[in-house]
Amino acid sequence: MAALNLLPKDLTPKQGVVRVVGFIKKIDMIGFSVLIAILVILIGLYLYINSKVEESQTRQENLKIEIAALEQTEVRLVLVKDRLKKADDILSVNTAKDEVTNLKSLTNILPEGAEITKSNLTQVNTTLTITVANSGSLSKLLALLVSSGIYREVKLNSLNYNQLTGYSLSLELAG
Amino acid sequence: MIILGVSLEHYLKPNLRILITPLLLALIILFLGFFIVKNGMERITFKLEELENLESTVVTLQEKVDILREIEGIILSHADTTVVAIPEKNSTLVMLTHLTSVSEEKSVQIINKRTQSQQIGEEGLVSAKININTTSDFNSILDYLMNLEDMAPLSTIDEVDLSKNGEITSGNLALSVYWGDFPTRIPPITEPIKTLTAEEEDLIKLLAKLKRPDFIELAPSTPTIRENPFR
Repeated sequence: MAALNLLPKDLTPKQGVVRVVGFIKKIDMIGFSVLIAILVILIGLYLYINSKVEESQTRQENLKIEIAALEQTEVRLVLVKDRLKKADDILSVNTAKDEVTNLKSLTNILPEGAEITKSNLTQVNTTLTITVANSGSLSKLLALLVSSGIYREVKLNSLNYNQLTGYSLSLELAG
Repeated sequence: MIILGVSLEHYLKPNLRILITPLLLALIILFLGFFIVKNGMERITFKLEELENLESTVVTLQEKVDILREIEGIILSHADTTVVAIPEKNSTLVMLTHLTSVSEEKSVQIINKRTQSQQIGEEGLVSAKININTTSDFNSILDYLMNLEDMAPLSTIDEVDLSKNGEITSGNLALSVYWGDFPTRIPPITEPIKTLTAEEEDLIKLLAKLKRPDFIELAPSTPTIRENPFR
């Protein structure tokens, strides 16, 4: 039986519009489904991240309690670091200790007849007055000073000779 | 309004009627989609940032706990060594005691001891000068000097004047001794800490080798039987 349409033709929508409406409805359905899916994914993701945040907060609190229990150790570590920084500053200060060590080495190799009578040791150099009995000892001493390698720089400030006491040298040495 | 002799209202009415609902629905879906995605992403981004911060703090705290547990057993002796090397209070008296005891060991006679004003250096390090006049033979004074910097608290030899007169050598020595206040604050709990470096460990070994001052320890006396005074 043929379908009857008693409505006037002006009241029925155009075929093209009906097709467009059908297409829009399909898009609406797809859009709605996608929207619901996105909503579910977002809520799921939010809840998952939130649970991770809560887990991290619990871990953080537990670690803070552990650190509080180890406070004495931390205090000592801070103290040790502070003392070591200060010790490093002190040890980097120029000192006359090296000059003392060098002078000790020099006294061990002094030739016979040579004697240190005066010495001034500072943080940078050493000034010595050495008396030597004869020229043989004098040349030996100077040769030893150069060959021993104890001092980097040797400067002869003065050389005096006295018939009774022998030679007297004033030297400026830097290690 | 008439276009091409046909009423527009009349022409659009049935078409609009069926178009309006799906179009409105599409608009609502679009609007809701935009609202949900924007809001949802904002909240998730915020939570992710919060999680990232928490995770980084947890890592820092975990490292801190690991370091503190690792050094827990040794840090007390390290603290003792370093505090003896650089005490909190003026170390001049301790050094003077040291100078006297070493002079006796090395047969050096101290004629005069003098201390000079304190100087406050960088980072709370304080120093004071000590001048001593000694007599002995030349080698003994040198041995004495070589021992001075190997003692705790830390000191430095500033200047030495030695003059020989016959067999006797007189020496004027200038030394500096150091001390410094203890730190008063520990870093915030969430701030990372660094363990001792290899250089710092070496420095501790060096400081541990220093000769410590001889403090007298009084042993506690044992209880004795008291006599009855009425007997």
